[in-house]
Amino acid sequence: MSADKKWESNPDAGDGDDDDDNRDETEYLSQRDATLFAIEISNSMVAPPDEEDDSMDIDGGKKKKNKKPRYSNAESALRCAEAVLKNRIISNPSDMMGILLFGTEQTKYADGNTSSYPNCFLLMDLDIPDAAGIKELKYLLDNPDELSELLKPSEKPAAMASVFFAANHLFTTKAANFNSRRLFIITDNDNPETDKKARTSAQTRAKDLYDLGVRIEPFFISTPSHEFDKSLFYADVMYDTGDEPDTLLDSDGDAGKPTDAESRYDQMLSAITAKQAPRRALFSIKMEVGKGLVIGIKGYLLYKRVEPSRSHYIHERGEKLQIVKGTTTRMVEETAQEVAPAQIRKAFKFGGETVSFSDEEMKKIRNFGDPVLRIIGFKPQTELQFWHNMRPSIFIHPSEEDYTGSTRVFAALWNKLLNSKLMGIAWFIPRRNAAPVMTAVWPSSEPQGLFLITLPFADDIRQNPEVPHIVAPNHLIDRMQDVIRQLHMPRGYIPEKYPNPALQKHYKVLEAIALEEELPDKFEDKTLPKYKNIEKHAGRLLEDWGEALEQSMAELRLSRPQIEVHGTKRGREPAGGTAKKIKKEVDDGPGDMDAEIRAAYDKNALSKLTVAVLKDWLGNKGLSATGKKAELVERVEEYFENK
Amino acid sequence: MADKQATVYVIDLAASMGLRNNARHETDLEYTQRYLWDRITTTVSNGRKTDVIAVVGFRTDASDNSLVQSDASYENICVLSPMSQFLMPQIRSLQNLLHPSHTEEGDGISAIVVAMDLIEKFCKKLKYIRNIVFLTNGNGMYELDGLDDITKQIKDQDIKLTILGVDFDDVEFGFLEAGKSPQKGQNETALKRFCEDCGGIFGTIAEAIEEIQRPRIKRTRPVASFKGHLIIGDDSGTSNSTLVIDIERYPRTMVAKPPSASSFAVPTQETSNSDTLQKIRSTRTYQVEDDNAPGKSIDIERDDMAKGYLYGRTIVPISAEDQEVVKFETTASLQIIGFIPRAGLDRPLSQSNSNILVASKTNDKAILALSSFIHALYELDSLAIGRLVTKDDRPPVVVAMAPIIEPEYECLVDVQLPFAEDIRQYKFAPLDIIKTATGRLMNKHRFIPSEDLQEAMNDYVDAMDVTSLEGLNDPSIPFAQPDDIFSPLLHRIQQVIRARATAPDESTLPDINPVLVSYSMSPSVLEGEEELARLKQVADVRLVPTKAKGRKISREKPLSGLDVAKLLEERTKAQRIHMDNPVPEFRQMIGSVQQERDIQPLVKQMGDIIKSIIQQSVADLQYGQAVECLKVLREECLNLEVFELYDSFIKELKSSLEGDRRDFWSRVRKEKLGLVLPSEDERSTVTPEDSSRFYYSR
Repeated sequence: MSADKKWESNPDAGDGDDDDDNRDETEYLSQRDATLFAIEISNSMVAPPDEEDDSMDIDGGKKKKNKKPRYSNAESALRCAEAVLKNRIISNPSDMMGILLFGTEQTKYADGNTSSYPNCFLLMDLDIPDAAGIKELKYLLDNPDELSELLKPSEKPAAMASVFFAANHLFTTKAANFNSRRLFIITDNDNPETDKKARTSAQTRAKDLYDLGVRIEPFFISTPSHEFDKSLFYADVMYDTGDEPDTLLDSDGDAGKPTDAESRYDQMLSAITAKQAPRRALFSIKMEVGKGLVIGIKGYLLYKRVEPSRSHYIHERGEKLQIVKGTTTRMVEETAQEVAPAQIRKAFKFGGETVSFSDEEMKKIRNFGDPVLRIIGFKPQTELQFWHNMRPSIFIHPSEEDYTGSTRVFAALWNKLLNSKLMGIAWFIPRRNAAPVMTAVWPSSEPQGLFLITLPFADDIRQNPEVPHIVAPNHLIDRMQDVIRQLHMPRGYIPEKYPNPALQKHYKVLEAIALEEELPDKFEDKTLPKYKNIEKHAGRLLEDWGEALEQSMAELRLSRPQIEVHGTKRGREPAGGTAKKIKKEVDDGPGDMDAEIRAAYDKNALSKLTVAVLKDWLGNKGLSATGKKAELVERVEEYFENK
Repeated sequence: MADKQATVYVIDLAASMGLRNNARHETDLEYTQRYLWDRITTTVSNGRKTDVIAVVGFRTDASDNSLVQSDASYENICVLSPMSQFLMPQIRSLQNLLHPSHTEEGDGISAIVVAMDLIEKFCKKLKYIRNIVFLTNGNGMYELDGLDDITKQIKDQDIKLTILGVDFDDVEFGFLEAGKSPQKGQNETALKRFCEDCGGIFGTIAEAIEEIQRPRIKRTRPVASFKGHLIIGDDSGTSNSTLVIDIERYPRTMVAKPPSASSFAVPTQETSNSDTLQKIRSTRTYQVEDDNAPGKSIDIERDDMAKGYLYGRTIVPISAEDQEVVKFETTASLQIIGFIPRAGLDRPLSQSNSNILVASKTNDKAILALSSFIHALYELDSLAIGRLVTKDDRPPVVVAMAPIIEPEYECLVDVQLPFAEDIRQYKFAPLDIIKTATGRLMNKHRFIPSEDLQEAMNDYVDAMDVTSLEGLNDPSIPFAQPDDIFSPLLHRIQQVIRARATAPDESTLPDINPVLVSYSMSPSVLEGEEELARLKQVADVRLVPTKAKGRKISREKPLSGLDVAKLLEERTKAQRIHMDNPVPEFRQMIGSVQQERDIQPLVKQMGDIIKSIIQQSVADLQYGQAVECLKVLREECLNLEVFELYDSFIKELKSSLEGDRRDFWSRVRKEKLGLVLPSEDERSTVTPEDSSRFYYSR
């Protein structure tokens, strides 16, 4: 995406060409989420970590290697909430978040209403967060005295019914019409209500939340001395949301294991960050396993390139900062008259004129049948070439919503494909009037399910550029193998190890400016090769390879002297091998050119150069080499002006 | 971009072309035109100025060409369309000229000479691909004297000659015309010989028409997406052992997008009396809200705007100096991070289209160096992982590279991989085991396939193996290989555009070309019927009735199976919805309704609550809440098949909105919460016009 386009606040404002292929994804992303953290405050939640379970020291003497600060459960939970807040505020700036403490001595609620929800403390109102709110939270976490004052437990725990109803009220009034509303409960108390009446009250209030479309996502804390028992209370207030039979059953997975306090923060953080984005289905369609055998499936995007958040135009001259809204006006080019929406018709350009179809016709043209994933046959997985790829894969999982028995049929298919190393070939229409594609149906063991890998069409396959065919001799290949063996990463590619450095920098800078903090002066870039390791493990071998290359070149020159001719064409022979000597050659070519161009620039004679020379030079500088000659000249001038 | 091209179509317009032969419904000329128009419109749709066309008719009534003045043998030959880029006017004018004449006079060979003359005059010595396409029914007289001279000229000028005839014999294609006239037989033989001598293509038109059914693929000249260095090690100049290879990167796959439609304005009667669509220009203006200004917003000049980002509700302006800080500086290069075993990359991790990497064409040393890299990867069955920056200061991407070694070609091919942030941590239930609410693990369950089901599935999948099948469109390619599958939408849109352009008065759309949907169904040669029947039987999949779905939500029980409905009885019996908990209570009460007459009062209560939320709203702050209640009300009325209740409420609501509160109606319109349409409940008689009038009228 060009820099200009990035600043354009309305991507539809172009020349009116429509491209609705990505529509589904943007709709999907525009769904908003509201998350309320509810953190229980009790004596055990605020207990300093050192006071509990010293048994760990006897087992492993962990204290020695532990340099991290240790937090109470409540503080860990707050820090997790802060981390999630700081992350989502940038990646999803329109999502709402809030923090509610319950069981506190103090009571505080929105609009100064303190009587309805005793011992509930609304630390951060459910809303789109702002810098001030985050600063407040940070301040609190940096000041232990004020924090412990706030986290003082009440004598009597808060009624769960009040907690649920407070959440109900917040979601109803603040986050109306949000597609996703979630209540994250962080607690170590597995049996909060023993009184029958209070219990019934909590159960009905929980049902209200369910009927309101609020999902409870619990993070239960177990300790070695006490394992959290969900069946005592929480199984009566949590619901199986149908399409996600596992979420609730597994959600206590990581945090639920009895752990010592020091690793608990990390575990809690990873459990909560894993849940920070609500799971949403991309589509819910039929899968035709065979003619007349139809089951229900849902599709999910498990991989999606995260881009830096969209920029906006801002008005700074007013009393306060404001986001500028852009409006597009469409006019008839000749008469400059404004065009009413009803007057607009879509047409294709053809032979200098336009060919148009009614909306009805367009729908008919785009219609290749109902949305479906139809398997037409099976092939061995080896038939799928490495380059048979167009876009991120889509994960599918069965759904019992429309067809009972879908899960077992899907599981049987998955089993067979996995065990026999097969894949399905399918005709795929993800939604009404979407362009059909062919896809490979690929079994996956983690997560368990099937992936859809879109295949290229014949039209999508490009021709290879022509390159002389010269095959390296075996001794040269052997040297390269030595290098590769040394730089082998046997565990394969693990995406979690490579954060996107450009995105991380964007996040950090934005956060620092918003919170008026110092800009970090160094950014870690984990995608950079580990030069020292390469040097250490393969330095010697790379030099050997370089020597072998020189030798092979010499042999090649003897056997095929004619290749020299085109090899030195245009004086940019460079970069075939290792070592400084060759690197110097790399710089030679462009260096000469630099001088020539510079001279032309100084003499104001750039336009006398040929397009080829200009393009070459621009290309070498990593600048765009497209456009008319005048544009090329301009670009070269720009380069020297800014130098 | 492809090379420049000049094509002359020479078409037979004799009176005999107007006859119907071989039991066809079309005349020979109509039949021939099928081919002609397909070729011409394909060229037009490419929209290249350098792809020019001329059309010559022969055996025409008149004579119109530059050679006829000096030589009578060029009579009855007309240049119908001079050499030019073909656009709609040329198409229309040509359409009017293609009619059978009243004569059989006129020499086809002379027409070819006219065509050669057109090419020579237009192309001169420039680099053009030169084509002559000759279409005839093979009747009449052909002047064969001096053919050798013409053959020589065609070869000298490197003209590609194609001769296609109506009902010409073609043994390979499997066609022999019965009762062919001796004259036509002689002409065929002579033309065939002439064509072969010129090194051209000779055939029967039926074959050509069959061939054009197969979509043509637009070739794109490879354009490098990156030219730079592949590097192992530190290339900052501090190391003595850094590998640097000159490489270039080109797309291997790239979505071929269907032609996209642009917006045009239909002229209003006042502005124009023609009905051609008018071009639209968009202008953008910028505003900020200002409560004191008329219309509550003021226009902003572009110069008064800064760029910035949102940090939640906080607006963060980024000054020009900060821009530099925000920028992530990079240098264009492809740096190797490491190597992994081929199995170390989960196939679904591939994120993008694929690109190939080759060494710089003019650098033999680089070619040799990259070759060793490719072969070493191949022999170790490994992939390379790299950090690619295609231009200075572009954000880096991580790519995986695999070797491709073909008999005369070798290269690397790359795809992009996800970063840590790109992974969504969704969790899914396992498919091989069930964990119950109490944490018990089960491997027998209705979600887990029985042995019978598994066996039936195994047999079915084995029966549906397509590995050994031929391609449906090209038998020389294996079944469902990407090369054999055409983009359905791309070619469909091109097909209808071309059809509409050449026949604008035709109101129907042409049938879809079956080639485009050949892969939409299992091939009929597979014999999996028995296995499928058995699979269906043991699978026992059942459709969930639509009604059951709607009612589910309010009857749901918690994980423990606790009967919450019972606990709620006290509340639901009271039949009174509280203002502070409307959505859940309305749902619960509707869910517990026993008799139909109990529904109406609940709808009334909910309606009153909605009205009072609107009335009490501070400005529009509570409108969202009212909309949500309205949505639920509508949904439940639809579920219970009492949409009349909703319709009468929404009408009442509309008329009750007065003064300041009228702005609520735009929310109703935006959320499409108006009258229930027949698509939602088939008993509804509301037309789209009714619905729209209801939304927009006062």
